[in-house]
Amino acid sequence: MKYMNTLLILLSISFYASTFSIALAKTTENPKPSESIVDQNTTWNTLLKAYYFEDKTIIESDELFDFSAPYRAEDGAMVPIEIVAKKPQTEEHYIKSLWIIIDKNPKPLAGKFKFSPLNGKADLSMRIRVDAYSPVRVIAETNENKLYMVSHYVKSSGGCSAPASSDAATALARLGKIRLKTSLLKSFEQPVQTRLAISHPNTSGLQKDQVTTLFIPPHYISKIDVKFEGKTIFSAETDISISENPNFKFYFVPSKAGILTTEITDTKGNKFTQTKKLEATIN
Amino acid sequence: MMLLISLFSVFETRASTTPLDCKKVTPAVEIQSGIFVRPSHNGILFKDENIANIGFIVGDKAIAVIDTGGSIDEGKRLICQIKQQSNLPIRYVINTHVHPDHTMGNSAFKAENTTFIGHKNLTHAVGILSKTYLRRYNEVTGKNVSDKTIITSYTSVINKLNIDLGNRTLTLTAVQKAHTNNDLLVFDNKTKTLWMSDLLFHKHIPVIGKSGSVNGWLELIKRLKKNKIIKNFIPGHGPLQINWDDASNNQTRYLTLLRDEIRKNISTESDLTHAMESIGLNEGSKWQMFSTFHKRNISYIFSELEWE
Ligand SMILES: [Zn+2]
Repeated sequence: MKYMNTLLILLSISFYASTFSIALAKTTENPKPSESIVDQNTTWNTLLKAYYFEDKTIIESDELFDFSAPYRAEDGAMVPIEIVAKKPQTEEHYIKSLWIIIDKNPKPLAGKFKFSPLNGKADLSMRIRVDAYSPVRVIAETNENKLYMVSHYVKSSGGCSAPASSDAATALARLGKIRLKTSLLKSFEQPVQTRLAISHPNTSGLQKDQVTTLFIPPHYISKIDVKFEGKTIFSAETDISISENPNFKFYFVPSKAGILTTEITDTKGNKFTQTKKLEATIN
Repeated sequence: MMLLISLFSVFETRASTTPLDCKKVTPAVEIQSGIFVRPSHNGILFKDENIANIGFIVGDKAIAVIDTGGSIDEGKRLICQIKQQSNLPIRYVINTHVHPDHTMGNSAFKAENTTFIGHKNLTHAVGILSKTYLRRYNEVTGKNVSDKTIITSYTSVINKLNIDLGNRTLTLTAVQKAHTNNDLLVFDNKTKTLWMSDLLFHKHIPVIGKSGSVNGWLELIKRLKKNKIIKNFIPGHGPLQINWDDASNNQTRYLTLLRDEIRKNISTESDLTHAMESIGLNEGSKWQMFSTFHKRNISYIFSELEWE
């Protein structure tokens, strides 16, 4: 029943919040934007926006992509999120990077993911840690250096300090194992769904050892590079807000059969690689 | 609405400062000779009280408590329920696992000069989790219980431990990862009753903890189903009147379905969101509290199985 508590806090807070807004609505003729929404964005407005993007303009719009995240996290250490692009990646117009930012995490930037026209579509799924009730933001940067943002408020707690799902010895034994899967290639010039899963504890530095109860040092994947026929199709710089056993879904457009390779680097300088032959299953 | 809430909290504060009148506490249920259970009802941790089945076993010379409930008040009421039955010393408090609905009443028994007993992993689990539990308990209830009340040291059961209550021996068995990584089974040799606590959910949806293992849990139930000695079973959640074959079959069916479907998902699309949204929906009508715990079960089991 460990995480029932999370749920309960959620329930009670939303209860108080809704009571509050009822009271507010009754006493004010012209209700202002809800107090709590202003609060939610304080960290972003006062700190994070300038830290990551200086004085650049960010357009809050879902014109380029949809972003989905659970309103209530079932497991704060493993919150699935998904970005679905609304426009194809073309040489003229494409998303060149996606930033994932969790305002209230100790290190808010979960990762910066690079895309190109080779992706066909800039869709991306992954699982993140969410440490406290927090906005989760996706910011897309286009090839024209325009920034678009969609954010969701996620109710979660303790995602960064939650113990790993398997003990250290087991995790170490399979450290760096990689699964690289692609959907059936029905035709060239079509985006192929690619799933990259890496066995790695991705320790955040905020988790405690189950035996000694001392903090486990941070050890996480910091770089991802996936190439098709020697050309980078997907790359990222990642941090502790990516869940253990990182798992990404993205797309790329193969123009012919070829070799898919991936190189993963972690903060201890370990490099893990995997290759996969991509063959047409077409007539 | 605001007014109602503040009135309610004033009432709450008063209620908790009024000394507990043991005569007004509903007695525990004697489900086997000398085995008393304080029954539970379904509820949400910290928000609701009495959400787990807890109780005590009375020997000729001493009493052992099995779990203490979700708050110090619950622990104090359990002491009342014990005193209603017997004045023998409460020599042992046995915690079946770390979860707060089973352990947060522990400190009520500090003054009783008891020995606290748990699985060998319990001390560490308490070290990692109990301050967080208490912080959330305080956040939710508005109380201010100090973390100095937390019982931090336990007699460890590494494999098996027999404790003698006087003409009554309890056998405590530390099991492999199942509901959590610190589950303890309590067997009363006298009445052949197995206190399963959260290793058995009855009508209430089975809930797996983050440190648990669906494989370990299924293995354990399979082993228990072959055991012909045990006559009675006590679940951690749900009604006490139990048909073991039905209850164990239901739990096994649910956990097996989740395990098999999640494995299938991992080997094909490997998509946690889709797993949470699509797996086991037919089980919804078969369990109480399904919508509260089902998706989280999938998420935890997915983490366990993804790289098995
Ligand atoms: Zn439990």
